[in-house]
Amino acid sequence: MNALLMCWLAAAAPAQELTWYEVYERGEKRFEKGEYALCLGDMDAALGEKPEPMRNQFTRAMQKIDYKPFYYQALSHYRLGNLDRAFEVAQKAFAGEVVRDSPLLQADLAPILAEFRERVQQLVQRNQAEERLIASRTRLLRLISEDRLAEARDILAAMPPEDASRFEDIEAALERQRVSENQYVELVDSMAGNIEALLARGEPDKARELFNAVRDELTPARASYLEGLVAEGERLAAAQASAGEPAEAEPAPPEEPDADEPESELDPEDVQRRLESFRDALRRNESVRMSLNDEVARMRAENRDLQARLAEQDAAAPTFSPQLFLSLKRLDARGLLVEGQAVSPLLIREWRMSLNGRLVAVPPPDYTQQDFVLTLNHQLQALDFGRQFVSFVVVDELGREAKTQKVFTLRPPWFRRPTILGATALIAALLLYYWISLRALRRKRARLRHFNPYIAGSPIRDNLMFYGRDDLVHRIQGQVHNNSFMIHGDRRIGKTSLLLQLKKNLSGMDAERYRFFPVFIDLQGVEEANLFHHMMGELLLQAADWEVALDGLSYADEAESYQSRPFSRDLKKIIQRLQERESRRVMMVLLMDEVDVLNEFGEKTNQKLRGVFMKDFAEHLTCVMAGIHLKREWESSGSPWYNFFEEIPVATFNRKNARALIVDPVRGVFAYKADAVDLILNKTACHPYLIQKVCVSVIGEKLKQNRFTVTRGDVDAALRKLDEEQKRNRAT
Amino acid sequence: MLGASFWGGFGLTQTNEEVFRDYQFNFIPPGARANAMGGAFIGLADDATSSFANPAGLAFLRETAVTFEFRSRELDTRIGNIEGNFNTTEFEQLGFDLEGIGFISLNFRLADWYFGVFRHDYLNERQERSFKSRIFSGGQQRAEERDIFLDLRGRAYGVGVARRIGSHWKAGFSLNYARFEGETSYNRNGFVVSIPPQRIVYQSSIEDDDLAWGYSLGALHQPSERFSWGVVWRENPRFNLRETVFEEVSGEAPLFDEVDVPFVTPDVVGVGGRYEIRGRSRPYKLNVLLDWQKIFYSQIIEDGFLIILGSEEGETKDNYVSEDKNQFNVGFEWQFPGGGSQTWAVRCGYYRNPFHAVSYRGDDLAIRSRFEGVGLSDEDHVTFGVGWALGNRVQLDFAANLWEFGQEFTASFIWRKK
Repeated sequence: MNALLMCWLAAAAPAQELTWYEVYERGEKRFEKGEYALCLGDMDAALGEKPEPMRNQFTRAMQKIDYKPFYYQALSHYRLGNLDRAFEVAQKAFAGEVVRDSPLLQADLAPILAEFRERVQQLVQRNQAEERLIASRTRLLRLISEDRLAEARDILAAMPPEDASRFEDIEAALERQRVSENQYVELVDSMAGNIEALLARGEPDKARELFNAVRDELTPARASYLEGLVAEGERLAAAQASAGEPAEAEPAPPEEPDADEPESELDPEDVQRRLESFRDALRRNESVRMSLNDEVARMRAENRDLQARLAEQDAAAPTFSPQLFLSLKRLDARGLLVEGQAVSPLLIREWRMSLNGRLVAVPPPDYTQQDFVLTLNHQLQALDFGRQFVSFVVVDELGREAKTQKVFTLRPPWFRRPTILGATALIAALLLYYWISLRALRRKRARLRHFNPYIAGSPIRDNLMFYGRDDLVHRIQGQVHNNSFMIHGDRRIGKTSLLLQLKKNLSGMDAERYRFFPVFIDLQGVEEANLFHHMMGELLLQAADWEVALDGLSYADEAESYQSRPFSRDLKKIIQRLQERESRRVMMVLLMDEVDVLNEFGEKTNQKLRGVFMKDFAEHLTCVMAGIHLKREWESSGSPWYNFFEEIPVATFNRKNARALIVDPVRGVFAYKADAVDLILNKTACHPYLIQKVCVSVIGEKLKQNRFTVTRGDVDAALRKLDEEQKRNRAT
Repeated sequence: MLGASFWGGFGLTQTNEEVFRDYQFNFIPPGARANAMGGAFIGLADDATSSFANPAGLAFLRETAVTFEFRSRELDTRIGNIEGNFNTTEFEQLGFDLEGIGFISLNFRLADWYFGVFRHDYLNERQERSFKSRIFSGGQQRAEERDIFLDLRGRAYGVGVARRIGSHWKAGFSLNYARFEGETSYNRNGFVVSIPPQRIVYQSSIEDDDLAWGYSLGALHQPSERFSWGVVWRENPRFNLRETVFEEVSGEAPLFDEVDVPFVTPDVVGVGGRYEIRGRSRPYKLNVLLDWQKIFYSQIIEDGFLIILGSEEGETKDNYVSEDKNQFNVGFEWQFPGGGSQTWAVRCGYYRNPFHAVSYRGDDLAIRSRFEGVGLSDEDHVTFGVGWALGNRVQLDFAANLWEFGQEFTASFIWRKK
């Protein structure tokens, strides 16, 4: 097995490939050893796999590297003397986040930039000088081509001596032109001399012939002068011919422009020969002129080539241009942090940043002539979500512009995305539709059922219609196991409703230590003799729900004989039986309504009733009485009920509870206007009975009208109706 | 007669596994880093501990490196009752602490071959256990006490070699030469409530060492920078130890014997994967690792299982069963850069070390009681740890491995020549 493995390992061993970071690390080591060419190879290989320089690149195990291949390439090129390439790569290094964030690494690359800047500046100066020379040559050639040779010579003479060599060709051409012109002048002068000689010899015909032959080549002044001479010679010859004598006197020649013209004897052949020679000289002169023009044309063409080459040289050196880097990070919903960086060998003269084509005011960066890197950090606030186009432009001292642009998509927060907004709108619309439908349905049902939940007159038995007494109910429920209560207040204030609510709550209460058995006893109309019989009758009626044995009780049909003693016995038995099956303490709560009748009973009866609560089973018995008031002064010294109750007055509602009583029962079906509610509250003084009475009337009327909004006018009408009703009742 | 027959099942059989059976093998690789990741390392194996976890991973280590691991283990005292069908057993295992250098490695590269020379204390265990059993059967009561002491030390010296194959594959092999030292004592005292009462005394002890070879063979495939998976086969060494046995039953002549008992460390095959998640806006790396290992515990029975003394007829090796087990290790490692050239890592992991003890399927109630009363079960291990590296040269890792009855703390130090 082992041998097989070893064979496999040895045999199946193709060329091993290193990972990009291993190649990179090897390059780093080679750089440290000064093996720059090898380092360049490694960095190229690493870049082939991982083109982007990045910080904190995790490699294997717990190792990480700051991946900066361009940094090593720039330094390697620099140390190998390849400054152009070093600078080009250094620019890329600066664009990478590793060098960008490290002043130390930037300092390492600074010599490359400094040297390159110096070189570029030299090149720029040289180019500028070259451009100046080319411009001068262009101007000179133009002058020559326009035959403004004197101006050309003046300019040439004013040239600094160091530039003279660049104009030798033009100077030589001008010299040739000058020589040619001189020869031409000499020839013309010579021919003029010949004409004069012929005239002097009295041969105006020959002189005219010669003059005509060279007239076009003479200067106008000289031509005019000779024209005069020839004409005068002809006139004299004609005169002599007509006189048959020679002229009397040789006409005085006009002032000779060129007194040095040698006198010569000319025979016709000689004149003819000279004429031919002159014509040859003219042709040569023309040829020189033509060749000069050609030469000028050639030199102009060369100039254009030079200009083109200069332009190409600039264009072929992209590293001269500033290199730009732009990064965008989101800050908040619409905020972008923009970091722009420009690396330039030349001074950056101008910079600007724009968002979606709109220029952004950027605070001036910390940038001096000595810096190679210009960094801008700015926070932009986009006007809207979506694609944001951020541009960064710099212009260097040569006026060359570099521009970069990045696009960043600002996605709106999730709650502002169209899908979410659409879904929310849809849900809202559905909810609205549901609400409207539900309200319409409720109203329809209300109309059909004559929905009017207010109760005016009867005690409230429905929890949902019990309003405004929650604090009171909680207070009694929290203390009833220790105290008895006397609830007193005006008629129709809600005492009975409160007792009924207590009965309901106590029956269902899941207290930790007590099990309540509430008994509602209405004493209205009860005669004194029947008090205890009535009470036990009510108790037994409700005890049917308690699932307790009720046999063996003293309760009988004869009310007269059933007074406090049998009542107490029976009550005790019932409580004992209840307690036997309950783990918690049994508390029987007698909820006695209309206890005002007790005022009419004898003191003895009252004392007996109170005595019931003093028996040995009294720890299981408590009561809540309700009435307008209970008499405090009795025939004997004190009240039997003295100190027995905690007295709780039941007053009208506060405005908040009263408002709830008006609005809540019909919520979702009927809607009250605020002024309508206020009117009800003011007119009823927040008395629950009166409120409900008004509301019953109002809602009844609205049902008839098939309208569901209660206005102040509706309430007014109801109040008037009630008032009339009351008046009618009083009258009857 | 009945008593003799009874004693026959009760006393005259012992297996080599009976001494070692409460030893819970732990195949978690060395190194605090691997420990903190719940031992899930087969698919990653990018440090020196790969000599053990997956030798192919050695081919990651291009630089010369030195690795030390210090390990401290604390086992809690365990007391318990085991209720069997016809017996009750009380047992007690005393807690103890062990600590020391667990792993040392030197890694280097010669051309395209990657080497690791290592020393690995793969076993360092001490146990003191006592059992009290009461067995009611056939109207008779039997009782016995067993005291077991183990001091086991296993140290492997090895060399691993690995090579890269192309750009995605690595293969490796490590060969280790292990020395095992065992010191054990096993005392069993029992009696049968009969007239007259019968007693049996059984004692055995080992004080021996042995040398053996083992090897690991691994491959690692990394199709992308983010994902890698590996496979490993570990052929673990098998030792033979000399055990001295003494037995005395009431009214019978005492027996002495010396036998060779094997100590089998089961072989393991494992497959593991690693997936790496990298941060987009912030630099971090999250390694998610999952290993599966199949541990061939059945080899404990197959390879040299021994019923040491004579027994009732029918008491054969077939009555003893040990099943191969699967073990899953899962680990997470979150690496993030600290200031400068620092790197931090937070790790956690989980593995369940499966209960592997031999179980008895014969009819002998006494033997069954011994094999039921082991007091061991699957161990759930929760691991976590931190790592810190400075400049890729120095790395410190700490790990905690917690389970119901113990905890182990590991610290590793790595130096790399950069």
